[in-house]
Amino acid sequence: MLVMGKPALPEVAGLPPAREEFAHLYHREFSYVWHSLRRLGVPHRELFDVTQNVFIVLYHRLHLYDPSRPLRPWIFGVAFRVTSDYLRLARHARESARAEIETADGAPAADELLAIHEEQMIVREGLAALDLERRAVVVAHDFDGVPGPEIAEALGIPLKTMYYRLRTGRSQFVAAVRRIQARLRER
Amino acid sequence: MSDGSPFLPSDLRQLIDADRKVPDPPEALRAGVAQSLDHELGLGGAMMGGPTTAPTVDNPHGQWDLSPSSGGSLHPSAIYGWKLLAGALLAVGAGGLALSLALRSSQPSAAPTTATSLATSPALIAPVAERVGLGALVPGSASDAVSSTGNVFSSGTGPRRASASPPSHARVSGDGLKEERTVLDAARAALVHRDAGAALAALRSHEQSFPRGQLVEERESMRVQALVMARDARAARAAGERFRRRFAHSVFLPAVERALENLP
Repeated sequence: MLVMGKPALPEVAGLPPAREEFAHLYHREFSYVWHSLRRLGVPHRELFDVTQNVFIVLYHRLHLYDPSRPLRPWIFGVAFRVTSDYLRLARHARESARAEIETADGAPAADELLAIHEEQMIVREGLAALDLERRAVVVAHDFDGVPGPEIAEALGIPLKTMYYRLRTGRSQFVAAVRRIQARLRER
Repeated sequence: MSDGSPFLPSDLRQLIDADRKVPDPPEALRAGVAQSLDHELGLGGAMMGGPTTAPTVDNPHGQWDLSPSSGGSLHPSAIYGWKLLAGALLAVGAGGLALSLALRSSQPSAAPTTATSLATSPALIAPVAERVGLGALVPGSASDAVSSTGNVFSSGTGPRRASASPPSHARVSGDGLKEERTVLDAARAALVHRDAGAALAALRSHEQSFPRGQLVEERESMRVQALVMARDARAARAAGERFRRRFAHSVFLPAVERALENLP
């Protein structure tokens, strides 16, 4: 169990949201946050804590959200930063982060093994082959269907950088999946 | 998908579609995180309402009007009860934890002797904590450090917006409450890890150590969830019925009802 600190993102002073508003946001977006963190590579055993930290940050920053913009890309940006902080706090270098993903998520509990389809395992390992920055762009674009400009805005990166990461991330993702599929065929 | 991922081979798009079918996390996890957030942020039970409507096809990105005037975007039926509870919280001038304590005001506080015996008997907690990979829960280890980080296993000492003093009996038996919280955190962690056996073991430990504790209501709500997870439908229904009778106005009742809905 990794002992995690409070979210490293600064808590911006502002009027906190009404409890009911936040509860509504939580219950509506819990699964989205959970799956986003899972795809970003947060180990299964840490999903509880990291999900909680995402919502703590959301609680303190909700007043910064522009209601005229789609909510989920904004949430995804928060999830990405919390994941990044989590990996940094855990002193996971990029390579060790990949190993963490592979060992943690590659070795689910016995009952989970029965439920997880092979395709889902391939996707998870394929994403684990990417660094977090590319993984985030690929997940947001190709899994969540978020348009590029909104991803760039949510992640705070130039649009050109976003497309570069998408292009190279896709290439790496495809290559990783092919390696995994070849390995499975050899079994 | 906005652009259909034109540069991904079709078989990879199928893989992505398969990943989209990964089931949502179980309800116990949602309830567990909600409960922790409620404690951490001092939301007075507001988080314990049920899930709301999922995003629709018309709103695939979850675009949502957060403005207070947009009453239609809220979730009135699930939240109404919590508004009443929040009002009660303000009326008594207590924090989130105090609300639960107030609802249990008819129960005597934990006996100091049992709390002490638990604190000196980490063996009660260690097996469960170790089983779910949470050694820091064992008294005398790094539990304080864990609590101070504000993670899920904090003992409810995080920042509170409602800063009024808790009821007197909570102050008097604060150590006992902390010990109770530690045991129940182990149970909750076991539920999170879908280990119903470990959860029930932790709940039994709590029951033995704190038969008339301050967190009995929370314990019994988790017992229902654990029994549902263990697929012991008969015991779960019986425990649920006892919970309804004993804690008819509990903030945990919605979570109990949702757990029971998962029974065949």
